[in-house]
Amino acid sequence: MKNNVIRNRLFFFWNYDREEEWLNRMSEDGYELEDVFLWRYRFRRGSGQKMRYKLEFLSHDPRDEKGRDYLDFLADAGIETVCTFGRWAYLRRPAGEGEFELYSDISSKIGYFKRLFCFLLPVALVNLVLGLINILAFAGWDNRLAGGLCLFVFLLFCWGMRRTAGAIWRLNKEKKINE
Amino acid sequence: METAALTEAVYYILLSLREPLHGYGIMQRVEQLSGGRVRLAAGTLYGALSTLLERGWIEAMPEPRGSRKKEYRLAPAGRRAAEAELARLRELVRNGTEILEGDAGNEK
Repeated sequence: MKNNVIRNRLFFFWNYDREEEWLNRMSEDGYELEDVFLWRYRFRRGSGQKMRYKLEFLSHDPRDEKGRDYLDFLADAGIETVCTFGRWAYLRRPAGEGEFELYSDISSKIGYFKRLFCFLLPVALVNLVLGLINILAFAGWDNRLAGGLCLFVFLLFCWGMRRTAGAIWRLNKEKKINE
Repeated sequence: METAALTEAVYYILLSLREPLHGYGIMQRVEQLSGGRVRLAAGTLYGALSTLLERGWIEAMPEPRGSRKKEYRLAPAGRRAAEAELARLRELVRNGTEILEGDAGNEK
């Protein structure tokens, strides 16, 4: 068994739960995450202790004081920050410590999904505008190709926003009855 | 004074801070107070502490030099909020007991 393993994998922001499941499976196979850069994941053979992973889209840049303060708070609660990539934090805790959740009430979960939605929306809109400008205002094939790519990204992010908005809707419905 | 119901998490955080505690200490204390029923996740607790600090219901204790662990304690406004919630909960229990147990008595 190799000590270091590199895996290439595309991460779609709205599928972070599938990403967590994959990282958990890698841990089951004996590999723990070391670092992430774009689609490149670096793993190291672990000590044998199984870990559970969570990805979180942070409300502050992890290099800022507020972002660091939050990650320090998590560390105090036994949650290790493996690495950060942009505003995403890759967090883990030993599997033996039970269920690993970052939010235990509905309002916090709704707040989290809203934060993710507010990130996806402007990116989608920028791609829509760029796509339309490239296709409608220019005649060159290269502009049409770039425009088509932007519209594809827009549609991809629309799918992500739909999934995120669905989660907010379901939680709001639940909140009408439970806290 | 706030009249809306407090969330269970906020109510237990306020109760737990009768003595100064840091984040993980609050999580443990709340779990202990609720007999293991309420387990606050770290993200939820952090968000609640930030809101309570902004409202002045809790205070951050001065940090010892070199320590990054913040300790919090209950502020007078937080104590009043917890007392108001206790009064609200008593009213719920009183009315629930009168109506539901009264119904049970009539059915016998």
